[in-house]
Formats: sequence, structure tokens, C-alpha cells
Amino acid sequence: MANLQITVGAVVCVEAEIRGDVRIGTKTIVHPCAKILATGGPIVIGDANIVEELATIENKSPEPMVIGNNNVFEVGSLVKAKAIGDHNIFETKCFVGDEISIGNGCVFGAGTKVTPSQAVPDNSVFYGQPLKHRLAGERPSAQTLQIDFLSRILPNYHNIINPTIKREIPALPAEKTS
Amino acid sequence: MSHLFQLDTVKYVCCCGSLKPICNVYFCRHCLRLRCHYCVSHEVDSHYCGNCSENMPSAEAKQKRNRCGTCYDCPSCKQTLSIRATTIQVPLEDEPEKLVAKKLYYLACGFCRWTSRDAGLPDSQNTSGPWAEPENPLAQQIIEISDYFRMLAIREKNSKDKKFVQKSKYLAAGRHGVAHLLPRRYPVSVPEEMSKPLPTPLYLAPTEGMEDLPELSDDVYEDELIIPKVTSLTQRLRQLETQPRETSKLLPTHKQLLVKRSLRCRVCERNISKPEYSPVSIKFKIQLNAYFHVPQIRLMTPLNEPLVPGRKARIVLRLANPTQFPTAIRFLPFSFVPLQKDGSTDKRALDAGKFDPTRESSTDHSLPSHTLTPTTSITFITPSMTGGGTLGSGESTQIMKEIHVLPRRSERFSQNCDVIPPADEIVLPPRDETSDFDDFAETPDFNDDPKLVPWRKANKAAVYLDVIRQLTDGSEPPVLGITIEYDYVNTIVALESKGVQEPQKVRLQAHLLIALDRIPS
Ligand SMILES: [Zn+2]
Ligand SMILES: [Zn+2]
Ligand SMILES: [Zn+2]
Ligand SMILES: [Zn+2]
Repeated sequence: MANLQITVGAVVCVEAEIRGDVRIGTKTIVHPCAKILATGGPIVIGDANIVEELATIENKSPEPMVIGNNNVFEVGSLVKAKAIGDHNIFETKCFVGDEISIGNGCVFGAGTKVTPSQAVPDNSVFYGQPLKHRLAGERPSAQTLQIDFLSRILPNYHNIINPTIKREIPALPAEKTS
Repeated sequence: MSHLFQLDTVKYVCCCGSLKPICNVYFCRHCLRLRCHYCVSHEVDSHYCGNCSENMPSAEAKQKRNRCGTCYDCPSCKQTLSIRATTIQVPLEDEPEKLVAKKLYYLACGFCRWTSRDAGLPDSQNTSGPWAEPENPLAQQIIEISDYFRMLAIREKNSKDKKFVQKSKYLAAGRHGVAHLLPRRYPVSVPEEMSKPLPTPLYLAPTEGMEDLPELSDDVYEDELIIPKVTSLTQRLRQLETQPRETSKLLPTHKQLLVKRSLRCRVCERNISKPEYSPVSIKFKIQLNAYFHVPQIRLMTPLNEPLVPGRKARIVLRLANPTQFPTAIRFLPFSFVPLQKDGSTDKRALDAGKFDPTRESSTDHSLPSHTLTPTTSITFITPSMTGGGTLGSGESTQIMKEIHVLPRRSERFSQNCDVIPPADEIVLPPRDETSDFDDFAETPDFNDDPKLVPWRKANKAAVYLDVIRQLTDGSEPPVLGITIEYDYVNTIVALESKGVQEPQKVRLQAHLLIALDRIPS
């Protein structure tokens, strides 16, 4: 049975679409209309991440997808990576393929399509069309102020899933048959 | 990419023979001819920075190598860098236990996230830097070379004064900027001094070949190549002085200046486009784009199936009148004649001048050609029934001038469809800006034949045209060649003679090539 675990301190809007086994760490913000789809294995999201509107995180493989801390998934990004470390930024409308495991401090620029099969080195920046790859000197800083702001403002205008109630969310049709 | 004016579909043929969409051609109101950017002279009006909009006189721009002093470009991706601030805690000078916040600045690229810290530059206490500039290892040599040529130029100038006349090689157009440095009588200009050979600068020493090349160091073979750490060719060439191999050596580059330029008709030497001086202004003092003067033609309905040679098909064109005066458009078979130095145009133009019936009444033809301005000659342009066969004497001189002045582009094109010209003219009312926003504006009634004009709105109309494919190879995409003849009201004449003359109405022609198989946007 699929279930959703939200740690206290996380702000997850009711309008977000969350399916399958998903665990969300504290201080993580999930905006309305964001999608977290654990269609295959579970998705474990760490602390202080921001998942913006229309961003999609999907795990189709049976392996669990572990996402670290302080990552930002910007509007319209589609991320299917095997694993994600800390301090990564997925800019608007970027696409990250399902064969890639991401370390720390990587930036996937707006509109980029990144699908290499090997692991990307830390502090990589992907940008431009055609895709260019460079190594940054330092990783992007954490969005602490933004997270504080959002966790204060979002509950004023949206219904938030109460983390204390352990809930079971409807399982996927595919899982029902098995 | 689709474009409102169908950049690839409808091409206007400029008199030099280049094919351009309407938004890329100009219209000289004095010559009454289309001009493309090959047939105008381009002049730099002012230099300015596209980021901070600072204006710079051309001498200063030259000194600063056409770069802005305050703005920087990302050496990695060429975006403009922005200044970021960070705060750090530093101990006070007199009280080391007390910490105060201090602002530090660095440069950052919003696109590829390059920062001046990546280049190893320390943060600056100032928003304006200074940031490290690439040091040119060849700077000394360049100074030597330019000094050497300066000396040569001075000698040449002196020998000129002494009437040792030689063809100037080094003084050409004051290339080294020394003209102003030269006194009329230069003390060194004694013949003995002059004949002394100049010491050649070091760079001129002949290079020597090497028998044995030094071995490559081991790390070339052993170290793993990390592509993201190696600069690309464009990155290297952007930092011309050092051309670094490692991305860590890229330094911020000063932003390249932009220019405002004005365009001048090469035939009559009058301005065709002149921007306002201020870099912030996007307006023009003079802007004679064909777009504002020549009927705009778009393909509304392309062919829905391939056109077999010899067969007929129907297309729909959309006409629009951009001027403030009504116009009547007539369609004619394609009759563009390219400029030729010794070909038919030349001869025909002369012939036309000889047999022109209006010549008797003309007072212009006896004037030398440079006083004969095209504006006075336009009255001779008569509607040509045979596709530009009859030419006025004024126009013949103009064509003569165009032949000498304009470059001949004569782009290759294949025109394999002909129009079956409709008998009627299509009258278009003047442009009225308010009608574009008024959906219920009254459509003017011109008693159109619905078989010719199926739709009309304000200054726009659609026209059915029958086209026939020539009996040639049918494998090429169908291209319709068409000449339109339209009324143009020339307000320049009235302006120049201070209202004594009425604006003149002339009949002009434009030649178009329309690709028929494209989907209109
Ligand atoms: Zn031209
Ligand atoms: Zn600037
Ligand atoms: Zn950049
Ligand atoms: Zn002109």
C-alpha cells in the first residue's frame, strides 16, 4: 500500500499531485500543481528542498529515488534522475533523464535536456542550446530565506497537508492489480 | 520560424538584383526605387554600450578598443555579467573583538553561472571593480611594430613635402593616426637622414626553424582530459590577448560597443535611415523602409497540390497599402531587368531616352547629369504596358547612374510560374491606424468583381490570381514572378519646393518572387 509521509516542518500543498510511496523531509516546500510520482519505486525527499509549480519528479524504476537536501526544482522542470545529492538547481523547463545520477551542486539550466548515462561530476553547470557543460567553482547557495518566506506565506493562501496525520493515499491503478 | 511578413515566401527584387523580404528593403523617396543594404552606404553615427546606454565619441571608442569601460561580458557564454553583493563579517580595525558587516561585490553570469570567483578574482569592495584585465604578452611587440610604422609614415610624409613623390603606402587615410603629429617642416627631413635605414624592430628578425622539437611533458599523456575544464575555440578567441586553454583562466571581458548607423542612398546620396542620436531612443529621424511606402503583399492561400508544368492554379494574395494616399495596383508579368554595365539595360535606357516623346517638353535632359536630380525627372515615368519598355529620359540617366554606383548582386533565382494578369486594377484606400482596432468599421465599397476581390477591409484586400506553370522542368518548387504597378504619391517634391507644387502622383513598379508551395504563417 502506497503511503505519504510528511515530516513536521514541511509545507506540502493539497493541490500538489503526489502518488505512490513518497517521504518528504522537514522544511521542504511543495507548491500546488507540483507532481511527485513514485510510479515505480519510492521517492525519498530530504530537507529544505523547493518543488515549484508544475515541476515533476518521477521515479519509474523499482529502486528508491533518494533526493538530498537544499535542492530547487523550478517551474516546469521534469526530473527522472536515479539519485540526487544536495544543493542542486533544476531551472525552468529543464529535463533530466532517468539514467543519470546527480551529485552535489549541479545546475541544470533553463530548457536544457540532459540525458547522459554516467554520473555527472559535482558542481557541473549545464546550459545553452546546444548543451554546454562547465564546472563551477562553488555550489549554489541554499535558499534558506526563500524557504522561510514560503513556509510563512503559503499556508495563508493554500490548504496544507497536515503532517501529523499519517495518511494513506490511493494507490496507482497499476499497483492495484498486482 | 514563421513571420508575419513571410520572410521566405515573398521576396522583393531590389534594383541591384538581390532578393529581400519587405522588412529588409528600403525605399528612396528621391530616386523612387527600392534599395537594399547592398545599395546604401552605411555610416556610423555614434558608439554606445548596449547595457548601460552610455554614449561615446568615436575617438574615445577607438582608444578604448570599442569596449565599454564599466560593463563586462561573461567570458564563458558572452552574456552580460551582473554585479552581486555579499556581506561578510570583519573585525573592526581598532576593536578586533567587534565584528561589522561589510559588503563585497563580485561579477556573476545569470545564464551559465560563471562568477569572477571562478577566475580566482578576489571580491571587490567597489561595485565598479577593478577587475583583472588579461595582460597581453605581445604588448611590447605591438608597440614596437606600431612605432616602426609611425616612423615610416613620418618619413613618407617628409619625402612628400620634399617632392620625392612616391605612392604612399603607410600614410593611406592616416592609418596610424599620425597626420596631426607632423609639423610642416620636420627637422629630420634632411636627405642624408632620410636615406639612413630605420632600425628594424625585433619582431622583424627572421624566425629560425628548429631541428629537434622539445618533447611533450608526461602529463599530456598521463592526465585525464576533463572536457568541461578546457575552453572552447569561441571562448579562447573572445579573450584574444591570452587565448587560455583552461576555463579557470577566463577573465571578464569588457562589453563590446554597439553603433547607431545611418544609411544613405548610394545613387542620390540622401539619407534613407537616420536614428535619433540618444542611445536610449529607438526612434528614427528618417526611416524610409519599403514597408512604409511599397504595397505589402502576402500569400494568403498557397497551392494545395503540386503544380504540373503547363497547368493553371489559383492562389490568393493579400495586398495592403501602407501609405496615406489611395493607390491602384495592377498586376503585370514579371519584368525585372538586372543592371548590366554593357548589356541590354544600358542600351535600352539610352534608346528610351532617344525616342522618348516627352523629351521635347523636358528641360532637364540638357543639363549635366549631376544636376539632374531624380526628383525632377519622375514626372516622365509613364505606365508601361509592355513591362517596363518605355522609360523617361530622367529615368535613363538614373539607371545610368545606378549602373555605375550600385553593386550588381544579381542573385540567382528560378522563376517558373507566370501570372495571368487580371484586367482590372485593385484600388486600395489609404492606411488608417484606427481601423485596425475597429472590427465594425465600414468596409469601403469599390464595386469589386467578387471573382477578383473576395475580401476587403480598410486598406487591405485579398485578390484571386491565376498562375500558370512554365513548360520547364517540374522538379523545382514553384516560384511565381510578378510585377506590380502602383500609384505612389511623392510628398518630397511638395516639401522641397515649399508647397508651390502639388504632391506628385507617379506610377511605380515593384518586382516580386513568391514561393507558392509554402504554408503561409
Ligand atoms: Zn539592392
Ligand atoms: Zn556599458
Ligand atoms: Zn555566462
Ligand atoms: Zn536615392
